[in-house]
Amino acid sequence: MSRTYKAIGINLKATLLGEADRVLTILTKEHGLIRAVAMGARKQNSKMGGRSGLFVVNNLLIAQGKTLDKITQAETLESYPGLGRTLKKLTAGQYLAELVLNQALSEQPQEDLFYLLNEHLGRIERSHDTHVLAHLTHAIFQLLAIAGVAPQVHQCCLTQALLKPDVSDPHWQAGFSAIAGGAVTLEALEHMQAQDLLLSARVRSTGGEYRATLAPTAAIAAAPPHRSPSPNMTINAVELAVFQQLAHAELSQPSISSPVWLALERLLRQYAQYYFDRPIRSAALIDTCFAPELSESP
Amino acid sequence: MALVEAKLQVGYCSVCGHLSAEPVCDICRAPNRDSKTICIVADSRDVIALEKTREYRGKYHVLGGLISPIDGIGPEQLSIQQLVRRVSQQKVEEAILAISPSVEGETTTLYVGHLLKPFTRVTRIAFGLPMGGDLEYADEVTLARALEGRRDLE
Repeated sequence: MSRTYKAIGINLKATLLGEADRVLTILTKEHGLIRAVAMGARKQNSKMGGRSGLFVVNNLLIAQGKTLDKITQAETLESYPGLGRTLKKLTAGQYLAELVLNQALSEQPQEDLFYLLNEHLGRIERSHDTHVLAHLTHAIFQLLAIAGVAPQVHQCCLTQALLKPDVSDPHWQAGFSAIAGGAVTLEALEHMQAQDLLLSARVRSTGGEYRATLAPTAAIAAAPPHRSPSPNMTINAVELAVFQQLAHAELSQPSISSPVWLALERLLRQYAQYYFDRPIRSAALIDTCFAPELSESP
Repeated sequence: MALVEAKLQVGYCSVCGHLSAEPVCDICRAPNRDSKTICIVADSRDVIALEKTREYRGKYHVLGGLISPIDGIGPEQLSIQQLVRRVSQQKVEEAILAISPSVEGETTTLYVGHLLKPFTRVTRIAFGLPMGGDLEYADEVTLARALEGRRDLE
């Protein structure tokens, strides 16, 4: 006899199975990430049709199976129809879903992650189209924070010196390094770059034999593209000031210019890709959606 | 043997991307079909389904899939460029997007719609309750979409 269990979960990914079924990857409050089959969900008259859509929150009754669990009952508690109204919102939602898929755990409660994701999807859904990128960047930072890997932006990751951006000085700059764990002073960044050059020269001169014993920064050359963040990134005072606000629960400056949000999103993307060791594929469409020429469009 | 022969003979229409044994498919060659209306679908099976309705007399464009960023399928992997070229070069008066209402379908619809709008009128098929279905058995998401897409009684 099969065992059944109840869960409240949000659908994050759907793949087709057989003639009419769908396999759902669901983030549940009670059991973390689960995969379950929605039988007949692709049939025209199926009650599971709408309920198996992405970003739909259901109260589920699931039967445990040998290989895959099976959804036997579902009642929709929440859906985000507003996400589907514009390409920007839809892309942002998929980006967050992919990020959560990278960080969520299976077989253990993920209540905080579940609520955080729902909160940010709701904010993106309700936001004005020009603020979507700001809300997305805020959500990425918050998701990284809940995973315990948010970048350190108030102190230099290497020297622990306090970073106070001077927004009145247009030439003020700091460094950002995913390998170091976040923001660094310019001096520390230059020191890192010098070390990189030295170590990569040693790698070349020894035919790569040092690779296994190198410091993480020098391993960049051998890493796949998503694991090789540029070591010489700099951020200006406004970007760092906004970065430092992202840890707050509420977004204080969503109307700040979109190039700043675009720059921060790219930094966080590189950072997340480095930490989760896999590319965020949805991000490719973000570049298309939020390119300057498209950002003016409705 | 017959399957091998079929595989060798069947290719894609050079105009619309539908499955065809000829370089240009029957639908694209038909002189009595309205070439000012193009129905955009994800798959050749959708063309067959729409043809069964006998309601549509325009032409088609098969995208060859849906944009699915999470699976790494981007716009460049579909025949969207050919579609934009076709719509911008021919005198198309209406482009109908007949794409499934999933997240991937919505993404594709919005993306393609945005690209085609400067050249022609862009519409999309309605979605909501299936014919013959009882309202009380409809799921919440479908019912909400049906309400959202309501229209004036003629």
